[in-house]
Formats: sequence, C-alpha cells, structure tokens
Amino acid sequence: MRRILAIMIAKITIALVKLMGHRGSNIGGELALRMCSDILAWFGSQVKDKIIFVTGTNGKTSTNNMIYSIIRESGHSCICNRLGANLDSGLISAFINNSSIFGHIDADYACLEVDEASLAKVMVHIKPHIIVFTNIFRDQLDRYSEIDVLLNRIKKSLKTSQDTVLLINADDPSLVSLEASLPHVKYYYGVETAADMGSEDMAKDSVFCKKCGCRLHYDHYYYGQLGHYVCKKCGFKRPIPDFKAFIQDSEEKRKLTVVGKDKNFKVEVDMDINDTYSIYNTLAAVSCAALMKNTPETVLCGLESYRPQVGRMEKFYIGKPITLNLAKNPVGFNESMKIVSQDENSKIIAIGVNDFPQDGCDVSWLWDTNFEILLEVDDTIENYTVFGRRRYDMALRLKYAGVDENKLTVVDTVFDAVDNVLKTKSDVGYILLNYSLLFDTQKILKGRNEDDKTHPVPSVS
Amino acid sequence: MIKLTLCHLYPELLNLYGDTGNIITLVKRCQWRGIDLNVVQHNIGDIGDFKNADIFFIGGGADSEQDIAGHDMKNIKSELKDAVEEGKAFLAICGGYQLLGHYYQNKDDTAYGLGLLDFHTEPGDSYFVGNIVVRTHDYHLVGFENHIGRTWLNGLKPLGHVVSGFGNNGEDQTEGLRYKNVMGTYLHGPLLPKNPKLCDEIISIALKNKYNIESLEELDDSLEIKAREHTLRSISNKYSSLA
Ligand SMILES: [Zn+2]
Repeated sequence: MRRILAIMIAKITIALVKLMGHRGSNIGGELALRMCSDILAWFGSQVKDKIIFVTGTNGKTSTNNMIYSIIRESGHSCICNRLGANLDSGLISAFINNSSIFGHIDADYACLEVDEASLAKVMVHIKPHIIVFTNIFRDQLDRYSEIDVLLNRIKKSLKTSQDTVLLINADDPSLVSLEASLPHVKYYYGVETAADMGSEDMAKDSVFCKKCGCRLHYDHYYYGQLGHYVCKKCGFKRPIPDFKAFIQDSEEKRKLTVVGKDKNFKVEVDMDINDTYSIYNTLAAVSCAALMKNTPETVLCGLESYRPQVGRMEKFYIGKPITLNLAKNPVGFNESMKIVSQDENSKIIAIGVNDFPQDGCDVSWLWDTNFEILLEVDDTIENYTVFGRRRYDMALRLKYAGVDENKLTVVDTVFDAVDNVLKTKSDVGYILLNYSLLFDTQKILKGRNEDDKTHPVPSVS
Repeated sequence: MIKLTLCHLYPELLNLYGDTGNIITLVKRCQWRGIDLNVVQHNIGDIGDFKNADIFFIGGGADSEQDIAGHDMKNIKSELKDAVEEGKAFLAICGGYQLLGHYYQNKDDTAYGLGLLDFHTEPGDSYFVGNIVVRTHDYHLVGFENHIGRTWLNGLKPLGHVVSGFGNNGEDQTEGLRYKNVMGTYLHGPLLPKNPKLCDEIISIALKNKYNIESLEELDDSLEIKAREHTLRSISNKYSSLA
C-alpha cells in the first residue's frame, strides 16, 4: 500500500513537473524513494528477462540507448532511462514512467545507465545480468587517488553480485586491472586497428600499471589511457578481446566491423559520426547485443533506428521555416518530395547532389526518382535551386521533368544554395540533399538559425 | 500531328541504372517539337509485332535477368532482324547491347546472345568503371560506364572511339557498335540527357523513315551544354572544349 501510494504520488509529481515545462527525470523518483526505500528492488524483480547496466565515465548514454534500440528491434519491451538520469532516483523514475498506477511493469528487459559512483548504491537493490563498462577516466578535477577509490568501490559492489556477467573495454587498463581479481564471467571488447581516431583530447599523461606501479608501454594509443598496452615489469597487458573492432577508412567514410570470438557474429557499421567515442560506444553496444544472442541483422537495424536523426526533416527558422532533409536514394528522395508536394505554402526548394563514395559515384539513379511529382505543385514553387558536385545532372533532371528553366537556379556552393533559399520570397523553404552535403549545409543553417528551440537536444554522456 | 512509337524492350527486366532517363529524354525532346512519341512496352511472352515501332530501346540488367530476357528474345529474333535491316532506330545499352551479339560470356557460364549482329563479349578480370568520353562521327558522347564484359566487334563498325575511359574492351579504343541505325553502347543509364545530339539523331532517323522529314527543329540546349562542360571538366580540363 505504501508502495502504491509512493508511485501514485510520484506519477502525479512527474506529470505536474512536466506541465511546468521541466523534464522531471529525478524528482518523482526521489519522492518515491523517500516514501518507499525498497521500491527499486521491487521494480527490478518484475523485469522478465534481463537487466543490463551500462556504467563508466564516458559514453554511457549513447551506449545504453543503442542497446535499448537493439532490444526494441529484437521485438522486446524494455525499460530505459534514455535521457541519462542515472542516479538511483533516475532509475526509479524510468520504471515509474513505464508502470501502471499500481506499480506493475510489463517489460522483458531493462537497460539502465548507472552513474559509476552510484553503482554500489544501486546494486544493493538490483543485481543486473550484465554490466557493460565503457571506461574509467579521471575527470578534469579529480585526482588519481579518487579514481582508485572509485575502482575499489566498484569492485566491492561487484562482489555482491557474482553471477553478473561483465563486459569490459579491453583497451582500458584501469578497468582491466579492476576485474583481474573478480570471479565473474568476463568478456572483453577492444579496437584492433591502429587507426588514428582523430580525438581532440589525447591525454598525454603517463599511465601507470595498477598492479606494480610501473609505467605502461603502449603499442597504439587511442585516447585517454585507451590503447594497446603492456607492463614490461609484471606482464599485465591488454587481454585479447572477445569482440574485436576493425576500422576501415575510405574517402570521408569510416566503417566499423565488429567480429565476435566465434566468427559467426560479424557486424559492419557505417559510422555516421566520426569520433572515437562513437566507435567505442558502438562497439560496446554491439558486443552487449551479441552476448544477448541478437543476430547481426537485428543489431544493425537497432543501430539504424538509434542514429541521432540528424538531417531527417530537421527544422530551422531563418526568416521563414526551413526544412532540411537527407535523402540517399530514389526511395528517400521520393519520400521527401511527397512531403514537399503536400505543403500548400509558397516555397523554394533546393536540391543538392554529390557523388563522393558515400553518396555513390554514379548518379544515374536521379532518373529513377520521381521528380515529376514536384510539377504537380509547380505553381507553389517559386524557385528550384540545385547545388553539389552533380548540380548540372540535377538541373537536367528537373528540366526533363518539365521544370521551367527560368525557375531553375544552378549555384556553385552550399553557401550560395542556402543564401538563395533565404533571399527568395516564399513562405517556407526545403533543402533536400544527399549524404556528404549534409553536415556543411546543416552547419550553415545552425549558424544562422533564429530559434533555439528548434535545435535538437544535444546528447549527454 | 506527327506521331512516333518507341518500343521499350523488357523494361521489367532490363532497367538498371536509370535507363528510364533515356526514354524521358526522347519523349521530352519530341514533345518540345510538337512530336507525339508513344512509348509501348514489350515484355516476356509478348508477341513480336513491331510494324508501328519507329524506335527500339533496350537497357541493361543483372546477369540473371539478362538471361531471361535473352531467352525470350529468341522468339522475336526474326521480327527484330527485319526491323534492323529496314533501318529502324535502335538504341541498346550495356546488357541490352551485349544481348544483340552472338554471345556474352559470364565468369562461370556461357550465355548465348541473340546473334542479331556478328560480335561477342567475354568476361574480363576487373570492372571498367568511370566517366567516359567517346568521339563519334560528328560529336562527342559523355557518359558513365560500368561493365566487366569485353566486347569484340569482329570487323563491325564501332559507335565511336574512346577519348577517355575504356570502351568495348579497353584495348582497341572502340566504343559501342553502329550497324545501320542500331547503336549499341556501354554508356549506361541516362546517356541521352547529356548527349542531346545522339537523342536528336535517333529522332531524325525515325522521322526520316516514317515521314521522310529531313530537318529537325533546333532546341535551346544551353543547359545540356553546360552540364556536358561541367562533366567534361571534372574528367579533365582539356576536354571542356568538347562540350
Ligand atoms: Zn605492472
């Protein structure tokens, strides 16, 4: 009864807080926790299949959300603290948001991001099936000693849950040193390719062996203390990963291949966002999904649906509403143009086509695309602007679709294209483009955007 | 009203790489001159009645689809042969081009072609991919090729000679084939939008055959020329004058 009351009050609080325009990730949970101290354990016991924790210094939110997407893709229900509220109260809020008024939840899985410092506190109530460790870095303000305190605290809490499977970043000597003395089943993931991961925060500090205190020797160095390391004194070294990541770079494109130990599991991911964090986050999520026996297909679909929806009908306001949409192929372009053709406002439409490898070198597909649909609303289209390396192919395509050449403007740069969209008199603007034009265009639009509220919420980690 | 008919052979099977672009271009360039170009399809199992066809078009497809089309095409071989000998306009691209020869050979098995014309195609070790520039009798074609087949003409006339790219076999500088008014080529996909002169040549042939009309109204091709220039310059600055 106390429990139900706690949940009811928490739900009402969350609703009220939301009404006032706040996200309310913690407050409801805090209240419930104060009224009912075992509420987290009670929620945890209702999860039918597995509970996964994701913890570490960096990349928790992204990794956890990727795992969530994959679980959802596999057809299961899942509780997740997606916005990154990762203290015990945040976890409780995530459960409450998915519970009935009586506190019942119907979930196959829970994947929860847990603050590394709160892990001990949370594990009193919930013993997860898997814990994914991303990395343990020292924060800018922290001292070395504090990292050791943290590691010891984590070690202690793990000893209370010996059936938990640990998934560990093999490239992180801090994490690896931590697990050496633990009896748990352990799996490692790591990056094999000695690629330059182009990280801006290469911590140049020396890293010392946690076992004997000697300076670690690195064959490759990725970022922070992550890399291929060995202690030449005591022999402590990077374990051979169960899940190996290989990085393949081609012109402006990065491919990540994750191979499982049994070789049957292999996933190839095209990296949209090109930083070291994303590589490790993706690798951790894919490895976790593989441990849960997901097929490579499910994993890929999950990652696809996780992808931050950059450039997918993204809205800006620069003197008028402007919609940016990424389209990679005829299907995508047809979808975009369907939306344009349903808009009754007067509009300018800019179409950008590049032919870099990630776009496709052959732009013959432009002729398999139904640009003719735009002609149905031609009287509402003030101007057709084309840009990108294949702007003339696009211009010809529009001419042969029946567009009046007087309404057709070919511009040389992305900047000119945006400029033309802004200066043409119209109610709204649309910019449709393929992949390699997206980020430049988006940057210009963001720089000139007048309405902060249209920015997507930046992801926290 | 001047009316022409285009017969699109096997569009359900042979439709790789934006072949439709060629049809759209033929239709539009007729339309802009007040000519009504009626497009009819010839699919698997259809009977070969080509009395009204003034222009034939056949595109490229995947190997398996090419095989299916090739087999069905045997049923209409004699009708097609008549059309070719009558001097009807015929544009054959990529796989469709290969099908007109005695055979095209894939890596593992030999598929037999229609044998409409005396040439053949063998597999190479690598794909010929990229932009291509071809000199024909009075203009330059700009296009994109992507094929593993090496075509040998056995003395037939080529459509043109390679200025940049690979062409029929990467060795003898020939590209495509020209027999009467049959034009075969590896320049795939939307070949005609950027090569309006080739498109107009096809229309002219049809007009001459059907109406004995010798002249063709000029169109404003400034955008086409700019597009050609742009592509040619992206291949090499020295080609930009060929637009
Ligand atoms: Zn050591």
